[in-house]
Amino acid sequence: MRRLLLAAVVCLLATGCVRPASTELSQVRVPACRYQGRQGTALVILMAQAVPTASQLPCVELLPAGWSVRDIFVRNGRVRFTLDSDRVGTNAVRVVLERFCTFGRVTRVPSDHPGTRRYQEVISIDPGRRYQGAIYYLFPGGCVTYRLDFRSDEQARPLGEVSLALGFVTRDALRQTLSDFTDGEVPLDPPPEPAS
Amino acid sequence: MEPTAGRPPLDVGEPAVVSRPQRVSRAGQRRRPSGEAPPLPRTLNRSGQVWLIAAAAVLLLWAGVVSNQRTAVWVLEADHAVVNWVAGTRTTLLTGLMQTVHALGSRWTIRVLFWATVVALVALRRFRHLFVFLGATLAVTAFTGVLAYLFVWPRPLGVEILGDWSGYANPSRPVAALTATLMGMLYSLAPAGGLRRAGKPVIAVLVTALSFSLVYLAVNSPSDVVIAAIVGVTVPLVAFRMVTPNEVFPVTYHRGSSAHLDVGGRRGQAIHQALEDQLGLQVAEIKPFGLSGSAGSTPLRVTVKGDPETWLFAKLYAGSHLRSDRWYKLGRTLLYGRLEDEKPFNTVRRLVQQEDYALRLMHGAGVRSPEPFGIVEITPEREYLVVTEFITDAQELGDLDQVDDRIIDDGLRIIRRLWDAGLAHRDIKPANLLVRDGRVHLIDVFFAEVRPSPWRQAVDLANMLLVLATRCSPEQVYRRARLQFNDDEIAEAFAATSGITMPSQLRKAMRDEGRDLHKEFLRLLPEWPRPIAIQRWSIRRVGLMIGVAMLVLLALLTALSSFESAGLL
Repeated sequence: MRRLLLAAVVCLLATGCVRPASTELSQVRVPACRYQGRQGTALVILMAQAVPTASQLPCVELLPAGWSVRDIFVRNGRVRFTLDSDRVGTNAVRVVLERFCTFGRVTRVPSDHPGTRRYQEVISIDPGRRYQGAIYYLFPGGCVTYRLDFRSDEQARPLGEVSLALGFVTRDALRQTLSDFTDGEVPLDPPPEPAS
Repeated sequence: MEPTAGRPPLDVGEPAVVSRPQRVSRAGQRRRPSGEAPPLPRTLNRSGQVWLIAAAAVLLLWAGVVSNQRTAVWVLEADHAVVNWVAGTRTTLLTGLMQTVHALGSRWTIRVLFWATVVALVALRRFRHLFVFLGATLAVTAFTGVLAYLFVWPRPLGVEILGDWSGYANPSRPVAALTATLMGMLYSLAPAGGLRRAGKPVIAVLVTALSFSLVYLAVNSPSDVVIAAIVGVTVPLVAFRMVTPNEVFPVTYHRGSSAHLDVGGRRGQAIHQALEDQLGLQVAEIKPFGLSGSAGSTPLRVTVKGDPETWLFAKLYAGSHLRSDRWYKLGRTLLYGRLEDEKPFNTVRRLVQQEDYALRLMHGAGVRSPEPFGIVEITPEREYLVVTEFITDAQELGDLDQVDDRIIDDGLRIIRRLWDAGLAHRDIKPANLLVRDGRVHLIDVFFAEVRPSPWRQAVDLANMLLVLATRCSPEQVYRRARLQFNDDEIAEAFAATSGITMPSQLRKAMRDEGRDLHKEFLRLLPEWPRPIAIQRWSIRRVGLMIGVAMLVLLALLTALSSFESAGLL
């Protein structure tokens, strides 16, 4: 009996020790746009499964200093994660991917990501103290919302940092990543329905 | 002769004589050789070992998946092949059915089952099972949550997912939570035997149905559900078998004190064997005895083979009694500061050693108490028996219609003997005073204390006076008491005693009498003594109160947070 318990403990320890908490691990646990030369991570694959129609998936390109990813939540139909900033506050940006978006008073602006349409909305401005707004990216099969809440007198710089930090992975690129990983044995999406 | 303030005469009545035990036949003893299991070992059983091996295999598989990409791909491919094949069998009817079955793993199903079990266990006052149930269920949900986060496993790939899901796939949290909850319910609510045996296949069917529906709907892959089921079975099974083994903490629905352990089945056999091996007794029968008078142990009557058969008295102590003793003492320290010797025991062995030592002290001091026969080990550091003489043909003092001067003198002489020997019994109550042939025998000496404070000795005297007065008049008892104790000593006794210092059985006996005997005695005293305060305030007590309050709050917050993260709130 003791040997069994010992074996179980050794296995558990081995499991924990094979990949100790490292940059590699944390990379997998954030929705990184690129990881080890490939586009997307296991988390982005799960996000793709949550909204199977989405042709683009939101991801983190490169986090500027002082920013961190938190509160990642993925379920069927909805993906959400949050960016915290040590300067403009926690929950500074809430990123949501869904099949559809509900717009407020939006203005269309040129998109910085190919294959998407961008809309912006200013919700409230407390001059010198707080800025609340939203950015919407529309693309075939999905919509991504960046809900912004900057508690700072700055507005332009954090907005620029957010634009740098967040990006998109195309579903096609993700398919390719999975195909490379599994030697083409396991597809991301079900085969298309035969046309009737 | 009028008593004086000096030392009272000791030669009142007859001298205390140690009772003569009956002759008990004893055969040869047998020493348990090194390496041989004790009479009642704790085992996981074969099924427990099989599940533990399965859990170890799961851990190995996970280690392989994490450390080796080929293993991960192989598992993904195997899962994909199975899910793909199952998806090929989808029909509208079957999909509707599977979506219904999927509700078995919903948060609401698990919440209802979980909280219903918690409420049932609280209502049944089965707190040990409750804590194991809470611990095992939360451990499973926390463990699977952490592992899912560590393994970042996707949902089945290449197949349309038809059910609701959230988070990573492996291990399947609905399967793990349902399995753990059902296993917990089975092991904490179903008595061992037919009902529990029947429950296992029911759980297997429910978990299999949920697992199949999850695979059918492509919410999970086969590896997700198999691993979750293994974790969901293994953790509660091992927890219940190790912490609440059926032989020690059986699930029963007959009424009785939780302090009383079942002495049938494997434990009964173990007690037989232990008595034969360790004391050389040929045991004919073991029966619970006088359960109503005991709350801190399981009292037993042991019938020893011989011509004629003889009886011995035994008290079974287990870890549960040790914990009860600990809680009892902590409670008294918090409520009253410190009464006397409220330091808890560390082990069951120490606890039974104390009782055996106290018995020998009493015996040596000439107090008429049962002759000790020794300690018997059932499970090392967990269960022991203290064996003593059985006082046959005796009646509890409280069961007598009335007591005469001889019995009163005899009872008071016991207190005088205790005082002279520097001892206190600390639990003088009707159930602990047996009368045979007009002689009082003092039993249950577990709480006995060496060199007690004068206050504690005075309480013993007051309780003896009160017990005796329940069966005659305070005037008669007081008159006889003045032959062995002076007025100052009696006054001190009633100054020292108040509600809390009287055993609950004595308080109940006085309530039943409908008389305030304490007050009646006070009226007989030449002058009313100033009561001795029981409440003791100290930095230690205040610190302990704050510490306990903070611990309770912390435990509550931790539990609430765990329930919330496990989706049970």
